[in-house]
Amino acid sequence: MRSFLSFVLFLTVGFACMAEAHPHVFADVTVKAVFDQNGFTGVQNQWAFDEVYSTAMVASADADGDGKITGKEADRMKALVLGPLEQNNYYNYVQFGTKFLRAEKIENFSVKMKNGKMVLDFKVAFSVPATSDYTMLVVVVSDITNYIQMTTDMENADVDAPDAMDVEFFPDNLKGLTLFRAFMSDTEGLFLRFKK
Amino acid sequence: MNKIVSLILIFMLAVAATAAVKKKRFDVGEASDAPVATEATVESVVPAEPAMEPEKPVEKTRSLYSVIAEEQKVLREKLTAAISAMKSGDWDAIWKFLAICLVYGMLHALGPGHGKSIVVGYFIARRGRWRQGVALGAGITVTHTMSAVLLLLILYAIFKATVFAAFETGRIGIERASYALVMLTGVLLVVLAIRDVIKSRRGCGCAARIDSAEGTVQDGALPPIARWREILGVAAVTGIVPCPAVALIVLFCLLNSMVALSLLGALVICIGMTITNVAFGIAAVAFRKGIDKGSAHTRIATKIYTVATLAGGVIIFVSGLLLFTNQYFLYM
Repeated sequence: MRSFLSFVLFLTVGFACMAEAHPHVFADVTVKAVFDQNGFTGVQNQWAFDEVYSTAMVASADADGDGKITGKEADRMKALVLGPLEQNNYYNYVQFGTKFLRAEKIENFSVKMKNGKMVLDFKVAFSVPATSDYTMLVVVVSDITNYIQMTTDMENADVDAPDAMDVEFFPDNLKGLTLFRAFMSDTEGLFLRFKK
Repeated sequence: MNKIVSLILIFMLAVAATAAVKKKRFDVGEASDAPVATEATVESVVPAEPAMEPEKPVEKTRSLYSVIAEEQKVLREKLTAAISAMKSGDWDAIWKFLAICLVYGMLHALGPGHGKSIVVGYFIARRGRWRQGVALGAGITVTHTMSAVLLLLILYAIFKATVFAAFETGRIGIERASYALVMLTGVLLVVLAIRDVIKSRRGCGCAARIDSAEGTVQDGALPPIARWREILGVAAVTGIVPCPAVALIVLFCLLNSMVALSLLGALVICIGMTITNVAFGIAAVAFRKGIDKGSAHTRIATKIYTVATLAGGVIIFVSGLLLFTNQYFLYM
């Protein structure tokens, strides 16, 4: 009876865990950690959406119907795509100590079309001052809810920092980082440390 | 001249050696919430190399979920290419389009959140016939895809090209209601199981009549078969959430002025998704039949039936809860 109950419990948990969200939108993502002379200032994101989603969203924001997103249309696009993501930190998760940093704002938002795909460029602003000792961060760009399947190219992630800032970085999986336990097992992060 | 070149090279190497930004692996300390903002790991850092250090090869493994998601991404790209080809007049691409739609539907339904847990949970909780397994799997999928097409077409008539934002708003509202109802379905199944236990202990024989001498279940005294109205109710409650993937593909065709193709594509994706969900329905019915057959002549038969019913109810409740919280997390 006990083994039967264990089996049933296993099935219960197993099948219930299948009830998660699944991807309906696909995006190729590149990231760049940005620093100024005072420290870490944010993550530059580039999201290239799949053609199907791009067409739907461009049609929603392209008021003059010229196939380009300009001026106020860009503001509309920003509200449509990034607005609902504000509560989720725009899917930019930066581990600092034992917590995630809260995104301060979106900067330098722009939209362009490339081979039918909508490409969003924007910086998610954070603020971590540099000291004379190393400060460490882990940057992850991923949709934890799996509605958008984000393929983040961490291998080619880059850093933009002034010469006065000493920055070291490398991409790796998130194994062992308990703060990221809810993320997919193959999610990669950008490990950073910096000092003045 | 050679001296100048050498000097330039030396200068470049010197600059590289003192480069402020280096792609290099460093020690992040103990694997926990390790990347703390301290100098604790400084001492354990490997001495800095002058330039880019070769990366330690990282062994990459992809989860089944990622593989399925990645394949869907590839199929979506092929789908748009086929639609573009047809728009350019190459109607031979329609067969490719239909084949991709079918496989895309099968793969898409294989991902989480298409009612498979509900189908399995339901048929663990309730005894079902083969045709009921097929009906529940198909019912959920047909409702899921057709509600998307219907909602999109209604909103498209109102909002035209700007429809997708409105679709998403409508879908989120329906999702919340649906997932709450799924949780309620799970609770009802658990309540039914508890009620049957209480009644059987009182000896009314409502759940499974027990041979008083042997304690085993008599032939023909198994728990009742699922009712058709229950099947229809579960299919409607679970499947009513419109599928955004189908809606996006239908909208893509509509925006390319291909109305008939949009409906045909939706139909074939629906068939693909149905194949996957029906397979789960049949497997779940078979599983429950196995439980019934294996336990029918044992002393603990009624206990097994009760546990199965409770487990099925819990599966459905937890599925609804996970979907609800996931959705809540996304949009609140």
